[in-house]
Amino acid sequence: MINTSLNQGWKGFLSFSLVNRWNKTVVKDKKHFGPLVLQRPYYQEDDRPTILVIHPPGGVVAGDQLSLNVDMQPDSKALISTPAATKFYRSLGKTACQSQTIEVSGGCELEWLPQETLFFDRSSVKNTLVFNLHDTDCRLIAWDIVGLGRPAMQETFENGHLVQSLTVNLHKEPIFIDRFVFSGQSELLSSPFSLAAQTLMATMLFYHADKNVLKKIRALLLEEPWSDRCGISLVDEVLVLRTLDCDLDDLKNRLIRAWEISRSLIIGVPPVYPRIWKT
Amino acid sequence: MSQQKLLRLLQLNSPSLPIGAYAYSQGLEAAVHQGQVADIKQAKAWMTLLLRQSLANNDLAVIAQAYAHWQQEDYAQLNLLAKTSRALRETEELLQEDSHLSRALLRLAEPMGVPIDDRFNRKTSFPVVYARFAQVWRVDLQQALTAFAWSWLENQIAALLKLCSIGQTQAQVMMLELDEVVLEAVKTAQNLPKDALGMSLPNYAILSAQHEIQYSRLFRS
Repeated sequence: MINTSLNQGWKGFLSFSLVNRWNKTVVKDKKHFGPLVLQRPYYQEDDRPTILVIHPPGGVVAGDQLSLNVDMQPDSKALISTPAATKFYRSLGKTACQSQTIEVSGGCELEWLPQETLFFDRSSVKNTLVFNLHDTDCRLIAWDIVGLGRPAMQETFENGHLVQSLTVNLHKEPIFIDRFVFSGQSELLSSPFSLAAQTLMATMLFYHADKNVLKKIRALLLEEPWSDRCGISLVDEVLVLRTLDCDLDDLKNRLIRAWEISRSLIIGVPPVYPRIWKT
Repeated sequence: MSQQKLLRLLQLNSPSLPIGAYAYSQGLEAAVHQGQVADIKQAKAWMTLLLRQSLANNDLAVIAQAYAHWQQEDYAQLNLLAKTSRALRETEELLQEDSHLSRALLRLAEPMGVPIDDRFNRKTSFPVVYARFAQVWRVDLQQALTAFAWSWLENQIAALLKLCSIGQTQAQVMMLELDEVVLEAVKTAQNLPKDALGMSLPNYAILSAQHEIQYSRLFRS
């Protein structure tokens, strides 16, 4: 598999499996090539590790291809995150690709809570995240935080190119697709119906959810002062929360609060703060 | 275009076609409620953006792909396309609207002489069924797309007139001014590569989700 990837010009490749061994999930079959590595998993809870995927160069340049494949075997559990933002730098033409695919078997519980992905102006990127659910009997809390341009430097994303997609498949068929394509249409940045002049957008997914879970999470969210900056909806069995902001800390705090509210409802265990968020 | 094809196309896109499209505002009610669409200029910006970005890359592009699959009787592709089209709905209300419209149009198929094969999954998506009617009646794809976009725009304008104090004449003039945008959206949809389907506007999706819990509503959620 690594060889094929090499032939296609992968610059960074990481794959691993998660296996439930006597009620403790462990990492197996780790394969990697190039600048994409796995930090040693640590256990804040007995049954599930916190796993950090690290991209030491810190930034991705034109033509880079990063690929991450995670195979969660039945009944495995994990919280996967990254220690720092993923940055896509300006490109002189070539497109950088990041492709992340997570196989989620029956009985699995996955929290996918990485730091933000930042796209600099003039970057050209195809960023793909896919969750393949093998069974309705699995649990997923995932977020995806995207930043466009570098507002601190008065840099907008005006000249960038981005195909950003988040897909949930169940039994190999799509049940939720969130796709955002930007190719120089500056109206998408400013329009009140698109990004509304905000530079950060986040999508958070909860599975498996039903009307009851929606009602509870929605009621708790509505108590929050920032609830009017969010949209929450139950699309088939995927509960989706969307929010926009200009302030990264505000946005993240909001998502973390949503995670706190939902963890016990979706996964059935109280929230345990990952160490990585405290630093 | 033969006169008979024109009749079928007009019928398929008539507001009196009993599928209930008039009951939905697609987030426009929330946008009006929150003061983001309050005058004709903002209404035009809303419709322009949705035509160019949302309709062109979602519904119109689905029709274009479905039309070819119906011609080839490729039911595996049709059923997968319908699932993709459903999965692209940003919110529950948008998915429910799509489900309602597709069921209502499917119910009209038999009485209106549009055969639907048993291999076609009945849990489907509206633009996929729409494509079948157009294809069976041999309506040219480009005209079917143009009419669909017109019909969407017509429905949005009807909603707009109910929601805010915009004059009917003003609205009709705006519709004229949106000609180019409609035609451009049709062109985009026809040229869209198969794997490039889908475009979600973040705040449109947020507005639609907020509409689901809006206290008083004229339009369905």
